[in-house]
Amino acid sequence: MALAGFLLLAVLAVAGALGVVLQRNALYGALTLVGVFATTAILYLMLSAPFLAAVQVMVYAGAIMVLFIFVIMLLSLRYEESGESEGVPRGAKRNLAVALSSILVALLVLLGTGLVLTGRPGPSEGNMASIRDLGLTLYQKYAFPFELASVLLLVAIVGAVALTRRHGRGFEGSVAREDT
Amino acid sequence: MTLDFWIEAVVKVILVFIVVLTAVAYMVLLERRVLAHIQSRIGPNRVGPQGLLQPAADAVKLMTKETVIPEAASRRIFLMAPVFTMVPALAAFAVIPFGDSITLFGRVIQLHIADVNIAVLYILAWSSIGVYGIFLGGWASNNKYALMGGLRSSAQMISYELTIGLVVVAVVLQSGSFSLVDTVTAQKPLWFVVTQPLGFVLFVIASMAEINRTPFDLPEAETELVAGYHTEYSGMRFAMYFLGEYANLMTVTALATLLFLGGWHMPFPSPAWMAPLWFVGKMMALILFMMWTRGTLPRFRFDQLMVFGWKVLLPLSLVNILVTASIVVVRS
Repeated sequence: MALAGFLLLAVLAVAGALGVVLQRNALYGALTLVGVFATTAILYLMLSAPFLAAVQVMVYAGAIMVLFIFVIMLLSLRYEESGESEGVPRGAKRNLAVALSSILVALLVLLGTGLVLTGRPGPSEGNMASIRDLGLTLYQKYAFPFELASVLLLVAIVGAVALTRRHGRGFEGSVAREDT
Repeated sequence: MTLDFWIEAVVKVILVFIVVLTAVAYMVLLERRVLAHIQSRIGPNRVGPQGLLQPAADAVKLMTKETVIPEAASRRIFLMAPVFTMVPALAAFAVIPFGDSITLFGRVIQLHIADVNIAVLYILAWSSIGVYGIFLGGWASNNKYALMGGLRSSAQMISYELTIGLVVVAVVLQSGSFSLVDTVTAQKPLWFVVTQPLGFVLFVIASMAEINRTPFDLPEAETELVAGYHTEYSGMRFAMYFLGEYANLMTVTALATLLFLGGWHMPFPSPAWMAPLWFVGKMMALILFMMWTRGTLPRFRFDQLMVFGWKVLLPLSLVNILVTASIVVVRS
């Protein structure tokens, strides 16, 4: 029963991922990606990580993909301009894609056979699935990487604001324009 | 997973579904009457006694209206978008407890569909999905005004979701669990509105913005953007947006009642079957308050709205967390 559920979700997730890559319309691709995140969240549920499932939906599907779709909508890339109407890419694009994907596949195979060390085994502090344990581990043992990740986000935000401000001083330089 | 369990679950789901959808339809009527009286007029009272058949008339009208799809609209997304608004509002009711437990036909029946240990996160996750319905509907209409309305509304929703999330963090600090049943149990001595009044105020304001209600309803303001993201929608799909908005109203007031107003707790001892009535009574008080606000306050301009959400509510919710956390640490 669990196996059937897993297989169904896995097929949906892979189909969604293929859809993201193969869709011509960027917006449909983004929506398919949301579907992939939703199936991943259900897979997390099946692995007894309900907190992770909820956070996956809230953060990935609910915030990150919303911003992606904003960008796609606001830019409204015309299909002809995007260069995809010529069909399968040729030349340099194709060679690069083939090279990168073969590296990826090789890495996955290596990791799968276990010939390469994948680092320390998972945390052995007991059942990580409960939120309490997750919180304790995150804020006590991994507090430094956590703070580092938040500094990274801050850098990204400040960088984005700095890159997009117009060269007026003060309020007019960085506030969103009235017509948006 | 016995047959009893399944029967109980299915009956509960059907019951909640029917009750919520009917309540949503009648809440539209209630709003129209309340707003009318605030504005010194009467409101719909012709169809049936006191207008009580008005929702039925509206339903028939909306169902028989033709669904007009603009020529250059993105057809699939246009048809799919209202679903993203309707489903989260209804799905949230799966974890909302209406009361403690009653004994019926010799069985002890819990008055909730599911007691999930991440109930609050579940509801927040669904409301994050609810943003999609708005801007997908706006974009798919291929209409400048709808797109603007959709983008503004989703920007507003994700901004005020932050405040809601942080206020919820403070509540969880005090109740010690994400489960809604545990949160209500933790309020047995004292309601959280007494210990976290700022949190309650922030939650009510932010949820008014989250569900696009006046004074935060610029995205669908009739005088500004035609009708915002649902300009091009007619008939049943418009009804889904409309019902989704009122169902959202019920969801956030139910959540506010559970998190701050003690859920189904009654000030004086009463039989257990009265608990849902108290719960609904508290919800109705909040709903009437929101309708009252709608009839009283002018709407925010969009930049005022964003400034208010990011520069006023967000810092205040962080202060709320700080104060609550300090008190919890000092007392333990």
